[in-house]
Amino acid sequence: MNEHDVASLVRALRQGDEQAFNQLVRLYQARIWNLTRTYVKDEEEARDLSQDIFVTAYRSLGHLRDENKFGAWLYQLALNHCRNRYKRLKRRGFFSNLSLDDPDHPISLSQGDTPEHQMERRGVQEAVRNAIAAMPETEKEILLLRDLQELSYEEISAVLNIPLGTVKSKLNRARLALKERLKKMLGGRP
Amino acid sequence: MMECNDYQGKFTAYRDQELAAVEQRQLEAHLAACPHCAKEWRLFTLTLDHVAALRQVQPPADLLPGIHAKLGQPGLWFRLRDLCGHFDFSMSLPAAAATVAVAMAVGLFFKTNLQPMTGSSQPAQLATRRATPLVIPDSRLTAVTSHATASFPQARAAHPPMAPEMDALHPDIFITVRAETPHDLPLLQQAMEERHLAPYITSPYVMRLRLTPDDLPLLREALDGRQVVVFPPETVIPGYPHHKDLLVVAIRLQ
Repeated sequence: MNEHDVASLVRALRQGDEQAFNQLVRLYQARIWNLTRTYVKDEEEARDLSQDIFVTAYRSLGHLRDENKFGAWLYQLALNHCRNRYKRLKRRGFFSNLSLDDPDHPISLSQGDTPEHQMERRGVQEAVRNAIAAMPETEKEILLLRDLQELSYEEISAVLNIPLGTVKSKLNRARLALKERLKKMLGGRP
Repeated sequence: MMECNDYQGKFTAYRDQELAAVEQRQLEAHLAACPHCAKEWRLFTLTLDHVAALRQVQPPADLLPGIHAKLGQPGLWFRLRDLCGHFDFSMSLPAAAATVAVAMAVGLFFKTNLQPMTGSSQPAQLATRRATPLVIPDSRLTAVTSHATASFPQARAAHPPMAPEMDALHPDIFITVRAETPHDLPLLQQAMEERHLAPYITSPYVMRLRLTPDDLPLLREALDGRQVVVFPPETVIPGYPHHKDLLVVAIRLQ
């Protein structure tokens, strides 16, 4: 489905077509779910958060000026929700019992194993999620938008409202930082 | 002469095929000659492959029904959630209240101790200076219709939306909220509507609403977790005010 089709759905929703909303949810739910699941790490929280994002989108659709930019608008909304939820959970110590994101206490490697094999064998997805969650907000969001959501540099620039050059430099910094963090978590050696 | 760090700085551009042909050849030649950078490149691509693998996780089947459930019961769901232990008055509101209380105590101290020495014109000037932040300039009161409530019947309101001209210049309570993103106003609007409050957006950064003193706790909930400054400070005291049935609140994002 292209941008034009999405805009048509948004227009239909504005005219009261509830099915158009269902279609929009089905279209974006996997992406929003992946974003929230990686951002807050917990499935229940991610489910609640994803639902809240779509509820807000439904109720705030009047604020969307350009129907062709629904995707970018939804991502902005989603990131705002993610940031607020993450902050609230962090204040409550929600992440304090997750030790995998602590680079000072790496998972030990068995003899003769390599980080590559280790990453493939053990709860890799959880480790990657934890490593991403522990990143600074801006780096984390750029990484998620590019490598999880597959947005182009231009789309990321529009969603985060930062220049294209900044997107490129911060993305490289984020990717290198994630690599280093995973290395530490998985044994502390290359 | 480029060093290893310089080459590693180009990993993202190389991965995303953004490098010029010359730079690409240089990097490939370096990777072929430098075992350290070659290993870092392998880990770099492996890391990104693992991030990409997260994409394969499918959303739960009950996501859409859950959304409909929330849309059908806007206020109730959040109230139940709050009752189930989600009360979390962050530091911001108590901290703001404490700050205002200290400021009032300091102000009272200076007023009590310095007023006799300042001469007749000083109190009037002081009063004018204090009043300045509470006055909303006319230019900011241009009504901007909020389409959200009109378009979506789920946004039920306990109180009717306030007309732009009504009590616009004389709010009983003035709240400044620190905004972090352009979406804070719609999010705040949503938080209020979920609590059956009916804010009226009068500009891209100002909203107003009318509520009874009994509804003040709902307003506090809606502002939970945000950095706010409230005037008058007595607003945060339960039971405020005793002499009015309906309060006009102006909220400005800053």
